[in-house]
Parts: sequence; structure tokens; C-alpha cells
Amino acid sequence: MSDKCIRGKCNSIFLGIIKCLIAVSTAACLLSGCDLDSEYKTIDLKNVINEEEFARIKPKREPNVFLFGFDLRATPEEDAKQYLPFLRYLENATGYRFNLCFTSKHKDIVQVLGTGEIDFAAIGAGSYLRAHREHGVIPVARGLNSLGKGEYQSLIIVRPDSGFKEVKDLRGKRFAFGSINSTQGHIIPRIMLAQQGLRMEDLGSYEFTGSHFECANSVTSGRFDAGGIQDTMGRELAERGLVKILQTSEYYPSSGISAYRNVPTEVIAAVKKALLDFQPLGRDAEPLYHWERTEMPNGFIEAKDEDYEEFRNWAVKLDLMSKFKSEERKP
Amino acid sequence: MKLHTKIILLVTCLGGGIGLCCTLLGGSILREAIDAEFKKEAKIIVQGVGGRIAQNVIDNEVIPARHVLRDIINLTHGPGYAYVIGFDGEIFAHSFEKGFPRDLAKITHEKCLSGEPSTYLTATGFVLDLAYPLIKGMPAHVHIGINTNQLTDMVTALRDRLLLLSLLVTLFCVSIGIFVTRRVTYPLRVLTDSLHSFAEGMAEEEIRLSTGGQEVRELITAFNAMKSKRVAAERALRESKRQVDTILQSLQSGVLIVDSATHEIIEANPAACKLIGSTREQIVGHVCHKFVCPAEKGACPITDNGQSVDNSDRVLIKADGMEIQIIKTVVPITLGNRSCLLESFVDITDRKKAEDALRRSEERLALVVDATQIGMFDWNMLKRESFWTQQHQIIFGYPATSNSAMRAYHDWADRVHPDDLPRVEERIHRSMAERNLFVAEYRIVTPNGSQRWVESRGLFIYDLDGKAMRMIGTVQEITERKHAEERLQRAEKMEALGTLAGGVAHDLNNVLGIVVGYSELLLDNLDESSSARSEAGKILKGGQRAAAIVQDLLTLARRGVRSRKVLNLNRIVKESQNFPEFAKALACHPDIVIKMDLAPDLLNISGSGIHLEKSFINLLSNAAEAMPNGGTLTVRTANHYLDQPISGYDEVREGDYVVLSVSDTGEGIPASDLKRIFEPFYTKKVMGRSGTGLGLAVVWGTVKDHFGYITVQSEEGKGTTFTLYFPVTREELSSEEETVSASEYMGNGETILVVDDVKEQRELAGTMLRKLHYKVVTVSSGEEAVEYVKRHTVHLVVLDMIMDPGMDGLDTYAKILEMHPDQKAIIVSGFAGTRRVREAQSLGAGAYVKKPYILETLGLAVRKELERKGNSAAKS
Repeated sequence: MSDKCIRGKCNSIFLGIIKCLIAVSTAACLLSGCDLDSEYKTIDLKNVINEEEFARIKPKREPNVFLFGFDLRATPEEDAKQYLPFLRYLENATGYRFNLCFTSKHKDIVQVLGTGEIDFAAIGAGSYLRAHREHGVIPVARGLNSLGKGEYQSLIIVRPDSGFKEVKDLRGKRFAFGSINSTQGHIIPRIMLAQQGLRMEDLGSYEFTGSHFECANSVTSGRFDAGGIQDTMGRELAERGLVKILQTSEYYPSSGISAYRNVPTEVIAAVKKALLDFQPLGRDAEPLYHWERTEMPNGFIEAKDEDYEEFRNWAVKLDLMSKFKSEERKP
Repeated sequence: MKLHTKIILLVTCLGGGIGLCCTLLGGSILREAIDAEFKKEAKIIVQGVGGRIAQNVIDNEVIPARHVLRDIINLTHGPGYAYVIGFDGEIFAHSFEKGFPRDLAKITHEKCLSGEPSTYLTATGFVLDLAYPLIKGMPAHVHIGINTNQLTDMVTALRDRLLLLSLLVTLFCVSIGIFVTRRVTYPLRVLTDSLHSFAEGMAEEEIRLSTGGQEVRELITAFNAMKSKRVAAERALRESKRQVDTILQSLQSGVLIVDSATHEIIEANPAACKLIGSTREQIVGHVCHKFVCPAEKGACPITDNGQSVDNSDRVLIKADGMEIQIIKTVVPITLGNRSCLLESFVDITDRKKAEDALRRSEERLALVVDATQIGMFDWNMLKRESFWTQQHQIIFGYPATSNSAMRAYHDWADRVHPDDLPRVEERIHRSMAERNLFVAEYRIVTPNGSQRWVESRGLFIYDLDGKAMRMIGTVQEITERKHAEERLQRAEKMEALGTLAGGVAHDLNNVLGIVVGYSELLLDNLDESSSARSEAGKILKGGQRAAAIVQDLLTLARRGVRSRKVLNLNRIVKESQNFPEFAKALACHPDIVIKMDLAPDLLNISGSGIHLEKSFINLLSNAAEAMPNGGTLTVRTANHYLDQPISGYDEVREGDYVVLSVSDTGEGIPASDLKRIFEPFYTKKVMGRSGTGLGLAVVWGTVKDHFGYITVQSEEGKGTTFTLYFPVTREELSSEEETVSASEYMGNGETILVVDDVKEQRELAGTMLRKLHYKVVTVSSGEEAVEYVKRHTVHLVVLDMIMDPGMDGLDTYAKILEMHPDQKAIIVSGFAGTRRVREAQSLGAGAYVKKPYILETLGLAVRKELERKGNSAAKS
């Protein structure tokens, strides 16, 4: 290789090093931010919007998106974790879009579903009876129990160290219910008490704690002597030794999915098919979050209004077919 | 640019650059760290109140939510604002006292609740907008705006300090750089000067330098070592070049070095110049195709076709235009940076001529071998395998899939007939031991079971110890020759036997001539009412019959057929049924059923009825005797056109034939006997009971005399069929011969000289002629006849053709003609008309009369000849 050639290569290398240094410096300048104010959007925080303009830019409800409601059972985050994967399943199975919709404690889900504020809801048998009678809500599917039937039970629980032997012993005692709109947390325990000759006024006190979880808490904490609770949660607590099951109810139609009466028939049919195909313990289990804690842990069977006949008789007999007041309690 | 200048510039840039980068990156990193800290703090805040706000949003409780948001912005270092987006995407609550900012509302709705952090510039500085979901997976978010002015101030101050520090470091680096480079580059300058001197070849002494570090000293040492090696390498290179030049100059092969790109010759050695017939200066610079392989221009195997080496026969064009054959080897080489081709070549003109001569010789040999259909072999006796040509394989019945093949010894031995193999092997060993030419004829058996005769010849090749190593030879199929030899032998045998039979018949015929002749005379002399007339007639008939038998013998000799008539075989067959032989044959075998299947439109043939009748009777007798326990004997006649050889004949005359076949359902003839059944006296019959051994020989002779063919198909236990083919004649059948009146051949006292060596014949002829009113003189030899005519004149001479001893009829007639050129004569003989009879007739002799003498025949012949006007035609 000639001297001239070597010299040329050295110069090239040297110039390369210089160029690299300049490039690194430039990059550093750029990465440092260099106070290029013009890149940022300027906003005026003092220029406020009036109501009319606010209403104009307010986002509209997306068409062709069906809202799915449910009874609050745990915290909003926990409920969302349970239902969001389920809705994604429905979307994949039906081709329709679904959004999860929380129901305010100031609203009745029966009313919300019945008026079309939401399109589908996971509700108990009691809520369905009312929604069907008052708004013509359509039953779609009921949750399967571990025996493969669309029924569930309620339990009356007491603390393990309590001396209660039978339900009759609860006369004059403190009794906790779940949500006032809950079938397993309210209506079935009411039927169980009635079957033992206990009316509400025969209890020492009672309270609607709002959820099965709170109901159980109120019993284990000693705030109440007994409580009416859904069978799955009650048995889980009993297995862990936290409560004792005083009595198990008969089987009643389980919670299920109902639809607003004006939802298109084909959508209901698609949703029904997807629900009947749903395999929470098998093929579809992977994305679900603690689905076993819901009242539909084993999937669904088709729901028909006549399935609720016996339960409807009890509800009428106990005058439970009208809306309950959340503040209804006996101090 | 000088090295030290570069180093200084490099150090300056390096120091300055590093300082600047540290300054800028440090500020950026710090800003990001503080930024992250803000986000972390904001997230903790939101997580703390998120649950409450989420419940507020679910329950649509705006006031409590607003209280929570205001509590957030009132925190120390808290954010500048906070607001919440509900599950429906609507702004649910905010911390602004005077209302929600219009810009923020638009941005919020435009961003479609993406939750991405954003930085906004407000009147009071930068605001970092952070968004956190209230519930994961749900659209509700809480937004917090953090004022970042304080953060920006902190970062700016820090960056300024770092910048100053960088400047100081850069100045220090430059100073150090200047000092170091001057010290480092001094030895390099010395080295540079030395290199210049070395390059110009002036400095061979070593560099000695006391300054510089260890690296410099090592560099100087390395330089000095390099210089020493370089000087030694150059000397070696010069020596190597000289050696290469010597080799090139001494090589007898022509060598050209050609530029790969331009094909221009850049070097040629003396041998190349000599072959081209030009000087190096006249060759170098020209493209190689001018001299070497001009036909490959544009198709160079190396440069155009991509071969790595070319080794092939080419043409070299000498300077005077003459072309010579060369073998050329070309390989690509690199000389310096130049891609070249090294072409070496030698003159192969003489070798080419020798190869052409050899090739032509081989082609001629191959043609000869093909033409003669001779197979050749080369037997390696050590390996016991043999090279066979294609023809050899064909002869031995192997599939000839290629021109030649290697065959094992057993391939040959398996095909040799087991009866011949020991003999041939013994012949091979004997020839090998005696160093003679091996010649053997033997049979081979082909895979389809057929046999072929081959003749093999071979020569042995021996090693120095006298041990035979190879045998090279030929194989030729001689089946046809063998068959021809067999046929010839058989024909010769038949001819010899026929001659014998003919000789006997000749003498017997003379005797019969007397019997027949005198019985005729006797009948003429007896009154019609005489009781002896019947006996004389029987003698005459018996004699005539005996004469017919003699004709059989003569037929065997193939001398008997002299009278040919137009015949129809159907008539022969039918009339033969009236013969006593026919009746006798059937009487002995009453259980035989005869079927006749005669073609109604059978064509005529030309021949002897007596011979044909006899042949037919012989075949019938044979067939009958082949069925001692009864069976079916079938006689068929038919017209047949032959256009290809039939069994037992190599060729036949194409044309129409009449076919006579006689079949039996008897015992059949063993294959071993089939070849000999036509031989005279070859018989399996019990002598005395039936047959004389001449029956089929007569048939064979008859067929031959009628220019026909005969075939035999026989299967033991199933029967035999003889089929006879006779050529057709288109002549019509002749009517029955009319009885000629004796007055028509009576003489008028003419003088007849009878020449016959047999007394009884002589006297018989004389008596007959006298009876016909001729004057008769008889002599017993030709010599006597010649003597007689010297002194006497005769009207006609009756000449016996065969006389023993002495002159025969022809010689006698010739002598007589010398004296009497117009002398008339007729020829008589017991044999058919021979060549000598025809010669005599060509000299002027008249009719030929077949013995035995018959009055009418002889009288008619004499009368006719006497009445014939002269014999001038014959003479001429």
C-alpha cells in the first residue's frame, strides 16, 4: 500500500472521529431538550368554558356498543377485573362491542336495565322478577351451579363459636342481609326465615349491608349474629373456618343475564348462544379473573320466564316484588 | 495535515465534545429524573384517592369528588390542577375555581381519553399533564397538572456550571496535547526521513535514536529488522526471477502469458516463438487468438466460459499461415495486480497423424468384423473373465445391449453343449500346452434351447515364464455350413447308392429286355386261339412289371425319368387304388380307415406316371404298416403356392405346386431316424415280411427327378405326414396313346446294322427288325461296327450307347461319320438320355430308344429316322 494511500486513510479516520464528536454533541443538545418552547401546545387556563359549549363538545354515546351492567358485589376494581374479560369473550363470540357499566348506589339496576340505560345486566332472580314485571326485561341465560343446574342456594351463616343450632334461635337476634336487591343476599334468606316462622319484625335488628362480602364481614366481625349470604361464598368461608352454616336453602333459579326489551332479537340470540357456549372452567378460563366468585361460575343454561314461577310465588307472598329502599333497615 | 496538529485538534474536540455532552446529557438526565419523581409522587397521590373518586364517579357524587381534587392541589409541591373524566368520557369534576379551561376541555375530548402524559405551556410556565385510570381497563381517568417551572430553573443552573467546567477541561487538554505531540512526533520525523532515504535506496544502515519511549525504540528496532528482511527478500526475489526466466527460456513447450482482460500477449518464451515462427517482439502485443485457437475467439474457456483450467487440443497458426495441431493448457494466474492467463502448448501434429491412422485402422477392422459377423474375444485366463464383442454375445445368445461386455468363464462354458464341452476344453489345454493355434468346432445351446454350431479360433499369449495369460480369438457361427455339409454328405451317399443300384439295374434291365422282347415275339407268333398265348402274355406283363421295378432302381440313380407326360395326381391316386400292392397293404391292416381329400381343381404336373404311382404306393404301404393296430390314413391333394423355404430346404423355386400328403396316426418315426429314412436300404421293417429298404428312397428320388420337394412331420405316438410338392405345368392332359398300326413302321428291305455288346439284346433287336422286313446285320462292339461300315453300306445303325469294353455308342458313331457323314443312326440304352446320348444326337443321330426293346417303339424309331431327310442340320 502506498504512502499516499495510507495518508488518505488516516485523514479519513481523523475526520470521521471529528464528525462523530460533532454528531454526539448535537445529539446531546437535542436530547437535553434545548428549551424549544415552540414544540409545546400553549393553553390558557383562565379562559373557561361555558355550559353550552361544554355540552356541545361532550362526547356522545358510541352507537352499536351495548352496555353491560351488574350488581356491585366487591370493590369497583375487583368487579371490573371480573367482568371485563367476560365482556371481551362476548365481543369475540358475538362480533358486537360491549362496555362495562357501573350502577350507582343511588340507582336501581332493575330501573336502569328496564329503561334501556344499559342493554344487558347480570342480575339475581329477584331483580329479574321485578324487571320482567315492571319493564318486560327478557331472560337470556342463567348461571349453572356445580351440579350443572341453573339454580343456586343461600346460606344462613353464624360465627363458628356461636351457640345457634337452628334458624328459630335467631328470633330477636341481629341479622345481616347483603344487598337489598340481592336474591341470595336478601330474598332467599327472607324465604328461609319465613319458612321457619320468622318475620322481619321478629328479628332483634337487621341491616342491608350492600354486598355478600360486607354481609360476611359483619357476621365474622361480630357486628351481627347471623347473615344471609350466597352459597358459594358461604361455603368457601365455612371451609376456611370463618363461619358456620346454620341452614341451607332450597334451590331457586340462579342469577343470570337479562336483556333490555328493545335490544334487537338477533343480538339477544347471539349473546344467548355465546353464553351457552361459554366454558369458564375449560376453553375460556384463561383470561378470566376469579370467575368462580360470581354467581355463574360454571357457565350458563338458557333462561325462561316460567323457570321463576315458584320463586315468583314466594316473592309475591313475602311482598318482595316492589322496589326496596336501601335505607330500609331495623336499627 | 501534520500529525501533531491532528492530535491537538483531536484532543481539543474530544475534551470540548465530552464536556459539552456531559453538560447537555447531565442536564437532560437530571431533568428526566426530577420529571420521573414528579410523576411518581403524582401517581401515589392519585392511587391514594383513586378509590374514593371512582366510587364518587360511580355514584355520580360530584361535590365530594371536587373536594378530593382540591385537597390534592393544596398539597405542598402539589400539582397546579386536577380533574376527573367519568366512565362516559365526560369531565366529571375539577379543581378549577372559575370554571374548566376551554383549551383543556378541547384537548381532553380530542385526545379521546388516551391517558398519555402531555406538557403544556401556560402563562405561568410549563405544565406536565399526567393521567391515571381510576379503574384499570375502564375509561375513567384522573388528570393532574404539575407546574414544572421550578424544575426547569434547577436544570438550567446546573447546565451552566457544567458548561464552564467543560471549557476549562478543554483548555487543559489542548495544552497537554501540544506538549505531548511534539515529544511523540520527534522520533517519527527521524523515522520518516530514514524511510525516504531507504525508499530511494540510499540508506541501508540502521537507525540509532536515544530519545523516545519504549514504543518508539521498538518501532525503530522493528523498522531496522524490516529493512534487513526487505533487502534479503529483494535479493531472493531477483534470484527467483532469474530462475523463472531460465526455466521459461529452457522449456520445450511454448509458453505465452496473456492479459485476461484484453487477451493481449505480454510474454512469450523462445519455444513459443519457435513454434509460431516469429520473434518475441513480433508476438508480444498481439491478441492471443491471432496465433492460438482463433476459433475460440469470444468463447475463451477461461475468461468467457468460466472454466478454471482449459486442457484441450487446439490449432496454432504459424506466422506463415500454416496450421499445426497443439495441445494447450491454460490456467489463470495473477502477476502483480494483473489477471493473466498462462498458456503452455506443445506440437502434437505427429501424434495426431498416428492417432488418425490408428483410428482408421480400427474402423476398418470393425467394418471387417461386422461384415464377417465374426465375434471376437479376449480371455484373461488369470482373472477367468473374457472380453466379448457384440457379435460374440449375439452368437452365444446373450442380449447385446452394448458394443462389448466382460463375461466370466462360466458364461461361455454354460452355453457350450454338454457333449462338446469336455472335447473343447481338452482342445484348449492341448493348444495351450503345444503353443498351437486353437481351432475347434462345437455346438452351443442358446437360452431358447436351439443349437448352433460355432467355429472358434484363438491364439495364446504367454508371460516370460511361459505361462499362458490371455487367449485372443474369434468365434463364427457355422450352423448353416454344418447343415450344408450334412446335406452334401447325404446327397453324395444317395448318389453313390443310386449309382450302385443303377449299375445293378442296367444288367438286370438287359435280362428283362430279353424276357420282354421274346415274350412279345412269342405273342406275335402265336395264334389268337393258342392256349400258350395267355402264359406268354403273363410273361410279358411280369417282365414289364419287373422292368418297372428296375426303373425304381434307376430312379434311385436319377437316371430313369426319361418320359414325361402331363399328369394329374388325383388320377394317379385313384388309379393306384386298383394296384395289387394297394390291396395287399390294406388286406394286411383291415382296421385302417382311409380318408381321401382330393382337391377337385388340382392342377397338372409333368412327370412319370409309373414313378409317381410307385411313390404313392410306397407311402401308402409305409403308412399302413405304421398302424398295426389300425388308425386313419389320410391322403390329401391340394394346390399350393410356394414363396418361402419349407422345412429341410434352404430355398425353393417360387411358384405353383401340387401337394400330395399322406398322413397316418401310427407310431411315428423317432427323431433320430428321421434323417436317414430316405437312404436306400435303411429300414426298420422286418426284412422279408415287407419292404426292401428302397421304398422311401424311391419316393425321394422321384421327387428329385420331378424337381419337387418332400417334407416329413412325425411325432412319436401320434403319427407321420409325408408331404410332396411337385411343380405345376400349365399344359393340358394328353389323351390316351393311340395304337399304332404295324404297317406304319414296317421296313422296305433297308439294311440295319445292330451294334450291341449283349448277345441276347443284339439278337432280340435283329429278330424284331427282320420281322419288320429289314435286312439286319449284328455286331458286338463299336470297333466291329466301324470295320463293317468301312466295307459295307447300311441304311441305319442301331447303336447301343453303353458297351463294355471298347468304344461306346458316341465314339462309334463319330468314327462312322468320318467315313459316311450322312450315316443315319438311332441310339438305344437302358439308361435315361445322358449327355453322351445328346452329343450323339447333336452329331446327327436320330431318336433315343429306351431299352428293353419294344417292337413298336423300335420299329417307329427306325422308320422315322429312315424317313428323315438327311442329317445336314446335325452336321452343321
